[in-house]
Amino acid sequence: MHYQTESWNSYLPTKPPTTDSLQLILRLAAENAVVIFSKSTCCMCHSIKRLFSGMGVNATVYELDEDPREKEMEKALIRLLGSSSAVPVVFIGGKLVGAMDRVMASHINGTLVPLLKEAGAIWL
Amino acid sequence: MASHGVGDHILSDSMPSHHHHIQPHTLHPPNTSFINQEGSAFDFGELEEAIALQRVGINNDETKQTLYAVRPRAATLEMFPSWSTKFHHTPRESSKSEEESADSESALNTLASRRDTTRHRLQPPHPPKTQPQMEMASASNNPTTGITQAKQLDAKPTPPKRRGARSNSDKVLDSKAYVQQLESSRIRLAQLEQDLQRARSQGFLIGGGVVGGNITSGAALFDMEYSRWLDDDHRHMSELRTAMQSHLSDGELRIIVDKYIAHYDELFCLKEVAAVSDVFHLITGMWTTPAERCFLWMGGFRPSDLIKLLIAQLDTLTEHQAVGIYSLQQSLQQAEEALSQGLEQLQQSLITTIANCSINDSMHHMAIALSKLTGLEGFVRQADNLRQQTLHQLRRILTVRQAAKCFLVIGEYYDRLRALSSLWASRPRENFIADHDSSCQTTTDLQMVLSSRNQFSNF
Repeated sequence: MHYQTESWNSYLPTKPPTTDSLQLILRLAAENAVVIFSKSTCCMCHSIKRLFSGMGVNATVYELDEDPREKEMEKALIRLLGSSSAVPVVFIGGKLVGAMDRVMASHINGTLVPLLKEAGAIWL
Repeated sequence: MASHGVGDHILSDSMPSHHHHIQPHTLHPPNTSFINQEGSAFDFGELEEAIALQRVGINNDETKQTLYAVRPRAATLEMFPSWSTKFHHTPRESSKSEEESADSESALNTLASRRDTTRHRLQPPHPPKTQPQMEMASASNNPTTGITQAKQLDAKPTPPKRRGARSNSDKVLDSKAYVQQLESSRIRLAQLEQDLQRARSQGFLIGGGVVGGNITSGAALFDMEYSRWLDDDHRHMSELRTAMQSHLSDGELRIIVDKYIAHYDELFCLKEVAAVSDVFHLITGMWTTPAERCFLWMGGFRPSDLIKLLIAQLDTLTEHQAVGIYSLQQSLQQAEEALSQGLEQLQQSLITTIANCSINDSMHHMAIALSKLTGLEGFVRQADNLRQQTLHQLRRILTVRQAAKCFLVIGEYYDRLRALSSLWASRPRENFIADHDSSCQTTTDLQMVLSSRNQFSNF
């Protein structure tokens, strides 16, 4: 087993790409209270970032298009979500919340804020 | 009337016998009804010359051919369609011409009202015998003589007649009649515009959604489905209303309320399909009435406006419910803000892309712009999602009775907004000289009524 150093900040064991990327994603998601996978060119991602910053949440954002492993991570996210668009995807407290519509729905039905509080992302 | 040959049988058929001033061989000053209604705007000089020239070389029916040379000028005649129709004295129009000749004023009115139906006769293939002659006759300064000459040209050679001079009073009458005719046409045009606007605001025009533009099939389909949805909405609303008034049990009311929510879910489904086929139709609000379009946010109503609307109506809230409603309002404002900012970024990047289209690279940039436009779809869908979630959340927070009242309020609000649109479209305009004074009058009348009412309120 050998470790491959990325230009990024993490050490990764080499494994078949798909599981590797999925593992990477999940690992990254667990590192912070609120993790958003985004692309710098995507406007819906911009929206979701604004939503969290508007709530006072300091989210960790990973821009896929600035990463060499973009394609694989995209594929992994698509498989994870079951939707055609990879980004934006939000993880709160290491757990998958979903894409924009799920985040919006949970915000409207009042479940997003408790989730954020639980993860320590906001304080009342 | 005595028959004077082939040419004038047309006139004699159309004219009642008492209009003998149209007899071919007499030259009465043109106090005839319809013929006098020419205005002074025409330059008949050329036509007169042409007629004179024709007259000189005329001996037989072959002149009809040369008369056609003057026909190109008929194009100018079509500016005043009612005039041309006067002179289409074919047997098929004989009955109408009788009315025309009755009286100056009434002729104007009948002409103005029939202008729409008879206008199409401007460019039909005329029976060659008399039409061009009649049109020329209408254009001449001396209509009586013109017709006289025309008929003569057709019938048989007769000695040329002296042209009757037009008196000043006749000219004044003519110009007055002309102005009146213009005004009546203008009124008619405005009425047509209003009808069109009304029909459009009611969504009846499927093929004419945009003036001069084409409506896509997706948009047309959505418009049709939406109008059906609106009918369903009225049905649901009346059901809700009767349910509220008849004090049904909670269980029965819940069924009705849930049906109303499902009705809205249907709308969001329709909009989702429409967003894929024609996002511009949704986002520009061409499917709504103008008043709704004024308050449009991302292809529909602004959900936080709904809450503002309802807060006044919800007076019997528990503390828990009040907290729920206010936090809903806050989340909605945050969500709307986020979506609006995302959409703005999309617009900015589109502007940059389109602006940077160089000559060499234009296709590439256009392709990028196209891919960015697909993002619009996503925003409209998210906005609709927000609307749908709002309605569902309201249903969750409120009791059945409160929810029923709320949905009734929402439905009635949008009904009133749509009605406002059609009222606005059909309001009396102050564009006409004729109407101007009357509208000023109504304003002063209104003020008088209001002031008198104030006086009475003191008692």
